[in-house]
Amino acid sequence: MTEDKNNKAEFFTPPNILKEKVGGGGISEDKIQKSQAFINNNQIDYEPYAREYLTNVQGALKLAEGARSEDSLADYMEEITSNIMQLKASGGMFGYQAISRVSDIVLNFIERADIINKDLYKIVQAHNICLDMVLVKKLKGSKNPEVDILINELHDAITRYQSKYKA
Amino acid sequence: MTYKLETVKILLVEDMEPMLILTRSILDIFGFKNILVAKSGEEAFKIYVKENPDLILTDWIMGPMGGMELIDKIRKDPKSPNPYVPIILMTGYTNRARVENARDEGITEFLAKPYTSKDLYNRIVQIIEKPRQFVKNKEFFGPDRRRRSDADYEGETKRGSDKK
Repeated sequence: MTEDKNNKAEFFTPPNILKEKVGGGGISEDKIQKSQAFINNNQIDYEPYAREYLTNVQGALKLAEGARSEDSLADYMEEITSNIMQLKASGGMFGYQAISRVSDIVLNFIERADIINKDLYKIVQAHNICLDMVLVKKLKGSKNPEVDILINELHDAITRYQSKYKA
Repeated sequence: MTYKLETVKILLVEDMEPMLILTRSILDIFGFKNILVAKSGEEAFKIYVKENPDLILTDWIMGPMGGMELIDKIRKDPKSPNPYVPIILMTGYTNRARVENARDEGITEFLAKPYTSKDLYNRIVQIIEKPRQFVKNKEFFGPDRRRRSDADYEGETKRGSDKK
């Protein structure tokens, strides 16, 4: 243990119990590939979960549009953000890489946006429409021309917003 | 020779059922055989106190108690059996301010979702082979947010910007 004389920070090195238990050698490449194949090929029905997140985004969006105070607006925006984050986090784990890609773009945009207004809401709405289409058409996989078109349109909408509001 | 992961008790905390199933299966394929699961921070803390796992893998946003509150309790609650336990936080957030906030709460490693099995493997290896020191001061207790290689440094400042 050492002590920095100025800020009184104390540093500890706890015993490495994990290392003592597992030893060395890592995990075999075979197991890593097998587990990745399990992710790629899992047949879990993800659509109901995606629908629930989308419904939550849509509900919070309506509330945000009618918010009467800055505090409640902040709460609704956090609800929108966290549900879009959940879509980004989960879509790609269940074959819907398009959901993760689209949601990641909008999540990054919202988290950097200083101005909350109807133009921002339109982008969130466009996100919802994109994802609805992805789910209806079951656009799975990492490469899909239809998804690329949707993503380009989203990028264009965000660019227009950013140039309009100098974001 | 490979890691003897069957000797490790791991606690997986995830409220989304499909993600829980998926992550548990991946851990099983890796070789973990003692996998405890919880669907909220509250349930996880009860299991943690009772079972004292060697490693925790937790989601961030959960109700009623989320990952950050769980981490805070693990690091600071008097009932916590091992405040030094390594914790991997899984989340879709990658915004720098949010990640830094999570580090301030005491996470050991951060795993961005969606993740690959290699991503998860790399975090586990990092924890085993390059564990973080712990730091304690008035404002913070948890893994050092920098990977220190100079633990014995006792000088006044480390950064040029610190100089007056």
